Amino acid sequence: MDKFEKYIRENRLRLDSEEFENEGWERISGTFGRYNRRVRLRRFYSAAIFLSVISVGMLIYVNHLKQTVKSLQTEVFQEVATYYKDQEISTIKLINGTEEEIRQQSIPAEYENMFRDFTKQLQLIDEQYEMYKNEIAEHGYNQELIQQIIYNYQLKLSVLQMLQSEIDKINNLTKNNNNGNKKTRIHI
Amino acid sequence: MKRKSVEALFKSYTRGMYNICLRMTGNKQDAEDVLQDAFFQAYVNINKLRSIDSFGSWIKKIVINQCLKFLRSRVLFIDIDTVDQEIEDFPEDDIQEYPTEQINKFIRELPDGCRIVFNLYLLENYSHKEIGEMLNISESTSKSQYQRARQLLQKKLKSKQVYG
Repeated sequence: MDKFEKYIRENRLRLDSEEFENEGWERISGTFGRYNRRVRLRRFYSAAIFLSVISVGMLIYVNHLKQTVKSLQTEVFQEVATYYKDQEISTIKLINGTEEEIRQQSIPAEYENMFRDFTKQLQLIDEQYEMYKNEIAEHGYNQELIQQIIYNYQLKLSVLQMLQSEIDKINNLTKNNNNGNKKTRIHI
Repeated sequence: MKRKSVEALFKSYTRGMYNICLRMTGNKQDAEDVLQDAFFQAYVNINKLRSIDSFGSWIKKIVINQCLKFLRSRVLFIDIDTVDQEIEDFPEDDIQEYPTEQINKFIRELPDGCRIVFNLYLLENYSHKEIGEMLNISESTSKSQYQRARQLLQKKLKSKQVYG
């Protein structure tokens, strides 16, 4: 290194003699500010997009869960329906058989009024059954509804059996006093 | 580091970096533009700075790279095989205070190619090998450009009777 180079290098800092105007710094500072705003905006959009993605993901997940539960429910209720199907068929058979048997019988006309409560009760049970059928058509099966229908069948069967029992009692009672009284049938 | 602290750190280096840009580009307008671009690049990448202690060398490297990026397309480096004459050494008796503004002005007035090499070698302490790699020129071209710059600068200084 010669003297010239040595001199320049030793006075290196003194060569930085030009002032940088404040306006120049303001411009640089302005670019920093704009960049910061862009970063904040980008972060905001990123957060918004992230939240949107999470929300959509959650919605899809919840919807999927609902679908899964719904399909599970359907399967369960189908199984439940299948389980109760045999019971339903045998109960209906029993009901139909008992009804048919009652329809074939006749009682003394003077006792007809005694059976009106039975027929009225049977009508109500049938009306209730129709309501359950409508509900099934609208909303499908559910555990509670199935239970109510089964209860409805059982109730109808009990009423019919009670009715049969009462008919038997009356017929036994009047069997020995059959003096040509008028007979009637119970309309159920 | 908080935003204001970062800006204050940048501001403290403004003068030094501006002078580098000024010597490298040769004019104030280009120097300001290059400095602004370089500082913006540095600011955007501030998270890449490993230690605050190395901020000075880090920002200087970015500024010089930005200067070279700006100049690369404008400057044609040619290999100067023959130096006009032997470079006179700095007269020993004249080692004294020189007006730095005058020296800066003469540096800025140097032709682009040799001015860049002169700045990188003598003021920014890069070797000719490093300069060759940075400017995509040969080491010998860097040396010849430097010699050319020395010759011209000393001529200017002599003619203005700044020294000798």
